[in-house]
Amino acid sequence: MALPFPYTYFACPCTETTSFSSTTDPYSTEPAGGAAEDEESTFHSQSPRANYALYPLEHLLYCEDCHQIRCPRCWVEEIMTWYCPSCLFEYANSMVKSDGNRCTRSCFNCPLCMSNLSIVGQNEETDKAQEGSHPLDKGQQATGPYFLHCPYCSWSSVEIGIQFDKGKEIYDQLQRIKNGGRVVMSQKDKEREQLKLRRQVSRGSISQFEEPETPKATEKESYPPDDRDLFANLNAFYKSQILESTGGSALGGAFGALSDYGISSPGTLSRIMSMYGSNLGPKRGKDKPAPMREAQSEMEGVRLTKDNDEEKIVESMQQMGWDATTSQEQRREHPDNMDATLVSDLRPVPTLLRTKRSKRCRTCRHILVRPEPKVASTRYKIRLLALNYIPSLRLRPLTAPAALGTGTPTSSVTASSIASSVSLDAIPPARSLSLLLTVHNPLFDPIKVTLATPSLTPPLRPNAPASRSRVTILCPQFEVGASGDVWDEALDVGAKESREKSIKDAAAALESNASGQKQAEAGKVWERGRNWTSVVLEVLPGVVNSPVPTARFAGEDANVLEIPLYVRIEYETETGPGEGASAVERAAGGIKERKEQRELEYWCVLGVGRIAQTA
Amino acid sequence: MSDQVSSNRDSATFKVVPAAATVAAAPSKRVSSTASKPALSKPPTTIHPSAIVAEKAVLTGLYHISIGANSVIHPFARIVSEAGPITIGENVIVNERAVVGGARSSDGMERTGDGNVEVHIGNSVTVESSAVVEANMIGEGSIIDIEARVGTGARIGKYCKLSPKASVGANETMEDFTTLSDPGRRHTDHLLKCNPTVRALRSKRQKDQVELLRRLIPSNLAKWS
Ligand SMILES: [Zn+2]
Ligand SMILES: [Zn+2]
Ligand SMILES: [Zn+2]
Ligand SMILES: [Zn+2]
Repeated sequence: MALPFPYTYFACPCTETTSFSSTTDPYSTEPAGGAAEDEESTFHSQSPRANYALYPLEHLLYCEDCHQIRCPRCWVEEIMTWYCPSCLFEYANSMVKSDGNRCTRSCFNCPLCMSNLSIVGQNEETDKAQEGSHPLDKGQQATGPYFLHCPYCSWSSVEIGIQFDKGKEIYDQLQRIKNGGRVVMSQKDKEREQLKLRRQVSRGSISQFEEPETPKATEKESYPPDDRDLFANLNAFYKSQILESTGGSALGGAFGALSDYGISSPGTLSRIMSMYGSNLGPKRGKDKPAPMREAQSEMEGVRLTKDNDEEKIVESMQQMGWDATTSQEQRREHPDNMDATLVSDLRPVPTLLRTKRSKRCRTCRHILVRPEPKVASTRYKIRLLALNYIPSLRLRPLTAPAALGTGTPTSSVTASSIASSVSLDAIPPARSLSLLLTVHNPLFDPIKVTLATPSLTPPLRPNAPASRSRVTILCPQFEVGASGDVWDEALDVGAKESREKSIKDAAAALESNASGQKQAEAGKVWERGRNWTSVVLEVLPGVVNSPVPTARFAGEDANVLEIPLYVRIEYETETGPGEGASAVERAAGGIKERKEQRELEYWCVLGVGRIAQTA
Repeated sequence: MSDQVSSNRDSATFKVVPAAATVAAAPSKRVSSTASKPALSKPPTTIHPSAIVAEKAVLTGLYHISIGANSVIHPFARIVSEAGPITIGENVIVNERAVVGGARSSDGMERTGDGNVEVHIGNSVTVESSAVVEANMIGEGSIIDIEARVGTGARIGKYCKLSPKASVGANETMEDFTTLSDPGRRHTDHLLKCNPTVRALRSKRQKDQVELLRRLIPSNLAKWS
């Protein structure tokens, strides 16, 4: 797992609805039937499934209506705004639907290194050189021609022969320029052309395809059509095929003008009906539609591979060398670049748009997170972080030598030998280890915490009971004070007494330190602060043998000591007049605020460290 | 395709090694210079009167250091001639925390005097912050960007650019007009190569930059004479 030791992961309670069945759990020592009854009491931290349930506290949200933790599995995301991360232009949903999810203004990424490209006017530079102006002086007007330039890897669109007349609307300009500087028809012009062609066809000329396209064909001869042309051609071809097969008659032509020969046109419908050969359409049975043929040429949208195409590619790769070829990442970046073998085939990549999303609880549909819709704002209108609702757990090794008199089998091991130098990346096996667990309360009410853990952690290796670690929580039940203003404590009389007590405690601790060490006692809290409490955990790490190559899941986590911990908190909170009270009660006005008992329970996983392997 | 992927990975590991070595080598460098010689040794220098060497710049070592006209050595830049002589051309800018020369090569070994330990930096070169240049030769107009590293004996051509954190190993060469980006990819800068006006502009900008720095950085040449 990614976090450094020691870490704490929280299991979202939504995982309880999907059971940890032992058939998928290679580490379960229980027979398949035993898991069901055990399910309530144990969280299988070593189960491969657990990885999908565990999150750092910072990643979780909290639903105030369900009073429950929410994880990415139990919230729904909704896109609020689309925007370009480069120019911060906001795109309407309809624009994204029609133009795609990329910036259609002037934002581009370098096809080689993906950093943002800058638009440079060529003559700006020469102007500057002539004027001999100071670099601090700004405001010179850049003049064309313009090109895109990468400030990181110094790629420029000049390399692929592309320059622009204007310094604005680069996206539209780029659409019309092929690599090498050849200007092609824009998509709109093409569509107009197609329309003209279709009209000619519908007028019923005999050689529908050859004649009107011949001038176009000669013009295009030297350049193979690109994917967009091919698709347009293919589209046009099948449209005309449908037209043809529905008769191509005057009737068909009339329909064509009206209904564009979509699949729902009456002609198509009758054709489909006749295909089923039922007696529903006996009248039209006679004039059978001509069978549709497949596309055959480039004009009809088929790209034929020429024999020497691949040879040419190999040849150019040989000539230009490794650095002139594209990498997989570069090709994946944009559909235009997917077939680019050489760097000179790459095109600038329009910047991908980003989104702002709101998150809702899947159960009650209440909003958990709602950012401000304005693109430039990073603030949130609503943000219910679990961090502010459930106590956080922090684990650290207890470096002060702790007493081991709580029934751990190896209490004979001298405490000082473990104390000073516990490396969490190599925990000595079978040696008692004291850990300090600190519970911080973010709530404004004092909470009652109950901790529980299986006395033995799940085995790290299948059929290796020795790898189970023994865990004892010295003080499983305690209270944590309320969070709030720091000054409240200073002004509170009751707190004053407790402070005096803690000073006394500290003095006692000092005394005991002088004589020996502070003792970790069963049933007693180690340390307590305003809104936090620390308790001691005694761990006897299991013994892990050196790598087991046969173990299926013995990956990098195979010797990580993780303690499943069950946390239950209880607290009493004041609910506002609106919440929890019925309308009648509110109308009566008798209840301004009332106490409500709340409880929250969940599983955590404490990642202590790696157990050193024995040979 | 698999070749390409693996080569990327190779270059990634190749990149990591010297970076780690800097961390390890930097303190030891300091230790060696302070332990053996309590005061920093003042090297023999030839500094053009129009050069700008900041008070807080560090020129140290045993061999000769020469700095050309209008070159700028920022405060806390280090020119270390412990292994061999260092020649810096005209209009060169060496930024803060950059190291030119150095007693040890990037692998922590004492650099031997096999001839490659000399450092020549051409005109209008920019050595950015925290870059380390042990190269034998940096060509005119090249840019060594932030935290980039050039190993001992490497030869960098004219108008090259090492992107931030990019690294050139010992005794490697880079042809003129080459840009090296961090994943170890080399690319020829066609714009510079085919456009003499752009090159002229580059050197013009460098001169402007130097004039600007002249106003900002108080020079103290007397300290090194
Ligand atoms: Zn969940
Ligand atoms: Zn944009
Ligand atoms: Zn780039
Ligand atoms: Zn909810």
